[in-house]
Amino acid sequence: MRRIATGEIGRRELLAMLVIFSGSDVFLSYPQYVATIGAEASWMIPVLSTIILTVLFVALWRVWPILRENGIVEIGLNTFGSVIGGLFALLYAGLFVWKAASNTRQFAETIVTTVLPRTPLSVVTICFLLVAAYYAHAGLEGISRVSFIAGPCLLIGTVALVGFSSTWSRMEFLLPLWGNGVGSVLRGGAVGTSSFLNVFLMLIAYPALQSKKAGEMRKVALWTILMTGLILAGVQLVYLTVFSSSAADSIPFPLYQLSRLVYLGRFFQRMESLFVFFWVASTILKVAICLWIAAYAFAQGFRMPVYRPIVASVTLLTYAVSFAAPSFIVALKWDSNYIENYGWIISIALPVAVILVAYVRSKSPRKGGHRHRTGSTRKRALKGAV
Amino acid sequence: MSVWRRALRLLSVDDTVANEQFSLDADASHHPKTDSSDETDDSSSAPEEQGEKGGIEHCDSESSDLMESSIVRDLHRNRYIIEQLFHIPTNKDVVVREFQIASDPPLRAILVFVDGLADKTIINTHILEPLMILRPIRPDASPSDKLGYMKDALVPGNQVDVYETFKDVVKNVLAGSTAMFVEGCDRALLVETKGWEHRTVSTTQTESVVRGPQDAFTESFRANTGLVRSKFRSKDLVTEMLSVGTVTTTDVAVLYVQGLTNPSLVTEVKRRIKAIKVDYLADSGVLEQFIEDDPPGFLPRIMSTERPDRVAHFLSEGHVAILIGQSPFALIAPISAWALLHTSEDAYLRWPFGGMLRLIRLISVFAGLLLPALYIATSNFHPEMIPTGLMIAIAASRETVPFPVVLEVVIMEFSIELIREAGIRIPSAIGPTIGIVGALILGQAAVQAGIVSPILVIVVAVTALASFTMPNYNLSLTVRMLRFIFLLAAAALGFYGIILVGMVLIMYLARLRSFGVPMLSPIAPYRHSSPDVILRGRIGAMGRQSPVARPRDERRQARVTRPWSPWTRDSREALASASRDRNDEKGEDPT
Repeated sequence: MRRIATGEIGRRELLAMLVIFSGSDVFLSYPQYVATIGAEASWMIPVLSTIILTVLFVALWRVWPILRENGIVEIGLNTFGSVIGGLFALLYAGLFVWKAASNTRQFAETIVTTVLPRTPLSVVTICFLLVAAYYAHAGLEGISRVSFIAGPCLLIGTVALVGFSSTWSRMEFLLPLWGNGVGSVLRGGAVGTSSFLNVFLMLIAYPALQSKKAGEMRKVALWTILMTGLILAGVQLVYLTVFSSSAADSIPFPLYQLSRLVYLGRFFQRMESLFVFFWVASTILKVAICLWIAAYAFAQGFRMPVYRPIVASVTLLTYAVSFAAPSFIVALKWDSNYIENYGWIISIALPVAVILVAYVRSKSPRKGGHRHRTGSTRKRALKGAV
Repeated sequence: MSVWRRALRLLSVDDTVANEQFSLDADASHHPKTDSSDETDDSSSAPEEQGEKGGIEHCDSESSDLMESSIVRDLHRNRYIIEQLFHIPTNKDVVVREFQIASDPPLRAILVFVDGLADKTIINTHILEPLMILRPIRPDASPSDKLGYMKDALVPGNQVDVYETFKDVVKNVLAGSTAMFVEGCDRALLVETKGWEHRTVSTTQTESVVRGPQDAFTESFRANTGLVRSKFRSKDLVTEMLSVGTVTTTDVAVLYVQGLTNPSLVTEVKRRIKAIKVDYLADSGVLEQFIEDDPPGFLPRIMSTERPDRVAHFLSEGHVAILIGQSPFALIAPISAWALLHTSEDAYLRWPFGGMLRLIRLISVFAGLLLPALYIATSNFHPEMIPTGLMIAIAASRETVPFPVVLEVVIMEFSIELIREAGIRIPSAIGPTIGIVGALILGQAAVQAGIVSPILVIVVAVTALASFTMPNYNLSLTVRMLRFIFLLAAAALGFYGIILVGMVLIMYLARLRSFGVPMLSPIAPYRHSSPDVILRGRIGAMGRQSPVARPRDERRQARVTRPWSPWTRDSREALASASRDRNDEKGEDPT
């Protein structure tokens, strides 16, 4: 199965794109979602998710190089055939269309509620999706470059926001230490891996990495998991110390509320409108990547030579799905009940299973083949399998 | 045609009536159609027209045949061909001078040159005088020997060539040379006599600096190449000549440094220039549009500069420079978007000052793009951002203004654009008037009349100042145009609109390429380079060559540039460098 051309991405650009993809969740409902699960201990949930994913990554240390030539979608197609592999591709595409739609709805509702109260929801959504579609159409190369430029700005903005609002912090809000209990923290940590969608993006974008060295690939993977975990946990920690856990789990726009508290003298207050810049930029990048993955998986699953022609269709589908929920509350509920709770099955478990099967097949002798292989024949077999 | 019928045709929206006086079509006849009764005449005269057209085609094909033909021994025939090619006697500025060369018997010859392009003093003293007066030619020599003798001994021009076809003769005569045809000789002597009027090297008009060279390119092609070579004295600097244009050719020089410039870049530049099929290439601005990368859009993808020192600097970084005909602007390719914000002065000043100036320019780009849009967004959508005191001041100043903020801003911006455009077009003698009119109308009268608020005048004035700081004219135009798009986005959706347009713009920039090099390189995609991209680093840190043009040599200066300094003298690198130098002096192998 030939891979659709996606251009080449540098190590730094890929890292920035991966971190923004999942790190931008802090601007959406992620802080509220984990606060609901873990209460005072909710900051531990991203930490635990990071540990789980790091362990998983180390366990699969030897398997990663098979992603050198093909991404997870092509590996699925090559290993399981076009029917089952195509079904997997559709599952991936479906998850990311839903994720994009959910994020779009959350974002548009928040914009309308906070900064543009007299603007119709559809206008905000259409404008947003048009820009996201332009990004998805530009492809991974363009998105990764913009991510690399926007990354430092977003990081500085987030740190400044969190830092300035931390003047309201009260450490006693973090007690009791284990919040709703150790069990809920452990469950939240496991389920919370769904938020690390950057792991899945990594599995798709790896072959686009300029350097094909296994060490480079592992370095990017490890850094992206750690940095995302750090951002999610850090923001959650400040959020919890500013608002008590009982308030934190009922605020629909966590960082927006946090930004409203910024007060640096008479001239620097009510900075929430300025915060819109970071918020829109990060969400556009996130939704654009979701659209790109969905379009790419659709195209690859149906053996199309290019993905760009279906970006418009995927965007339209996303627009329609984003209005499926009758209200913002229902949209949030669907997101936490389904995508966050079960998304990891498609975004983490299924790809890992596919990679493991592909790896085992590449290592095991074929029917009628030789039992003992030389290094070169093993490499050829590995290449053939992927 | 009667008046009534004309009126009827106008009322029936038949706009052909508007074209009756004169129509300049590709196959237009000399006489405009007058009325419908003439249509029969037109149809009857169709064969005649066709014949005429056929005659023109015949004439064109004959002219091209003559161009390709070789020079013959018959002087009359050569003269006839020259007269045909240059449309003599209709054409008055091509001179055909018949004379006799001192010989026994006298040898008849003609000189052909373009009046105004060739230097008459050189023709008189270096061609006519030696041939007619100073030294006779041996009578027994054959005509071709005589021509060779004239070239070697009689004509003291510094560039003399012999050509055999009229195509070469015409090309050189149009470039200012003088052609000499001699009776009985089937070749022509071309003497270099270029000497047309041009502006002398003067100070730069659009890229002024305080510190650094003040000379600029002129309208003289050879003066321009000379200016570059005087700044960049390297045996490896290559100037390749190309010609563009079918009706009239324009010289295009491609300059690069052999061994440093990426060969595939040179090949690509030449390939794009050679692919241009156009009647007439007027200026560097036209060439720029022909060869720049897709997609078409606002931002320049090739740098134009009138500074020879800038060209020399870019050549030393492995870029390709292009000089075009009589254009006082050179083109540089490829470039990064960051380079559009640089001036040559940045490098001539100490790094803190160079860095500060670049930072000011960077801020001014954002101010030029966003300031009016931010004003609209803040006052219309997000007034809570403004401190209460300031908000009350703005509201009070707008109390008497009858327009919405958007209209107010658009009116003011349009007025500023008018002043700017008028300032360029207005005769210099009354130039200061523009300043007075602008200041009085915009600064005082508009506010007093209650049409605009005083705060908006400040916003628009700062925006105009910011856009004047752009060191590149094309970039300045880009900022001016994009400002209106941001303005409309802010009027529609406030900060949300601004950031949406901003994100589109960033992605557009991220995808733009200049001769295959991403415009945001070396930032995105990242490539390791010296601290000379956004700000300016200290001179000692500039060891690494700019990666934009993908040069073949990655370093441009030694790792330790100040080994005598106590600050670097004891460092490990300085000691290693000194050790290498000592070994080199002794002629020892450093290993």
